[in-house]
Amino acid sequence: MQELEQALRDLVFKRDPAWLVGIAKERQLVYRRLIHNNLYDVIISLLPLTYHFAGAEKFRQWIATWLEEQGPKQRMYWMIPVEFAAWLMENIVSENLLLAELAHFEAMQQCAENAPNTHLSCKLGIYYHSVHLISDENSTLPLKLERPIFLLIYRADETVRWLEIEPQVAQLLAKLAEGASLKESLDSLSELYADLDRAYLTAQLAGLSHRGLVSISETHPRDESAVYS
Amino acid sequence: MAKNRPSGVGIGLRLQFAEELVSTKATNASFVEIAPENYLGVGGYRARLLAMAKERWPVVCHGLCGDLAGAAPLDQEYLTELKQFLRDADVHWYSDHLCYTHLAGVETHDLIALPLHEGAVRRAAKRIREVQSFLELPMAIENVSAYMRMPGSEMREEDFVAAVVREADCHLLLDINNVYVNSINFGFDAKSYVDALPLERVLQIHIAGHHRESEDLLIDTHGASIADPVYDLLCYTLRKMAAVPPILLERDSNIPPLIEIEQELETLRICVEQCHARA
Repeated sequence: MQELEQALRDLVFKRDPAWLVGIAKERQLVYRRLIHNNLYDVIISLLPLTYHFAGAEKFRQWIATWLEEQGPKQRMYWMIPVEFAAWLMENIVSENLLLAELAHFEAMQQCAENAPNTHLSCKLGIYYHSVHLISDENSTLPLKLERPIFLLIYRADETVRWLEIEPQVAQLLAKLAEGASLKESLDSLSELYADLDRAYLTAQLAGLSHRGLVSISETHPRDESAVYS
Repeated sequence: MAKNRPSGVGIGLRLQFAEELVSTKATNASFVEIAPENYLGVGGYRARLLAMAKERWPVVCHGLCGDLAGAAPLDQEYLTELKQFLRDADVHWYSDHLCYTHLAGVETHDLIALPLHEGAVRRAAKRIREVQSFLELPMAIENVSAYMRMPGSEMREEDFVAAVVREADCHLLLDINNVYVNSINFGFDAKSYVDALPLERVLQIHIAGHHRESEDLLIDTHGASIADPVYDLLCYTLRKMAAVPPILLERDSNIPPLIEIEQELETLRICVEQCHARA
């Protein structure tokens, strides 16, 4: 059975399919086509701007490579584009940072939209392009920013929104997301910034907490941020 | 306390029409079906829709990624989350497909036929027993559409399905459209197939439309109205059953306006009544 599963994986996901012996290729192709179409459809529908600006051919090549090299690992259907975007971040970031960031931003919107009600929906993204200003297919692609922007992407009233935050606040959130306590996080940042204003950062964090965007607890640090830098 | 058992005709809750469906006053749907893979751990809009659906109808949960005969170990963490989800949904049973969904480390998000042999029967039955026992719910397995016979197949499909149901001591979710699709794709008699199944084990029926790709190849798309031969096969099946199980209309692609889905539910409801009355 294991050998058959591997053979089927090679049939379905290898760019050059490994055909099963003794079975009409036309029938084997049906599985390959159905599975690819299903996965392509969900990725394109949930990463529409990345698809548009990458162009259909390049985008489809990326998906094909992802499917051959890795493919979906999670059961949740809406996670397929999120997994693909994570792969893009690792694999095309040097080739096309803007599109990698755009895919990440679109994926984080999915994560915020679907985050469980029992957790904060907030995700953190750090971008070198103003991907949050690409509102539709007619948008002009932004040039690289001189400094990165830090965005909290969150859900409020079933609508996904974003909020630009200061770099040190973002770094603090990232530390908290790693599991550090607030004190540990501030101590860690103090090593990076000699003039760190702990009171100011704490107040900023409290403001975000008051808006329901983050949860600060010495004993139960929030763990919901998806961070890349 | 569990809600009323699902009965009559129902519809799969799709995001494309869910908002309209849960808000409409008059509907022909008497239950709705959801895939946990689309709702488990999800909040916001989807969670609200699901909550509204649960308020209004009995909900049945139908898995898409159970990989009930796969080689990979069962995912206990997922099953634990699923168990809680099913409890919260107040369901009477859980169903999934008799097929591969996971191939050597990759989730296909699709349904891939199994090799039809005794080894696969034993493997599937063992896993279904384990899942059923863990979930503490009756489980029904669905016969899937197929486009090729897997290497090593040596049983008739209906015998394979019946053997798994028997050995796993589980129930059957009989997909009438899948029987018809496979009867064309593999050239067998659909009624004989039904005759060989343990119909007393059928907990639920699925019905849907398909796409004719060629003379001998149908694709199970859930993207069209139910074809006449599938209605005929449904009628044939119902006449052989002591009671009519809940029947779900699947419409997952090429989704029309809700009013057309409601019309199809009504057609289906009338067909079911007439078929059973003539039994």
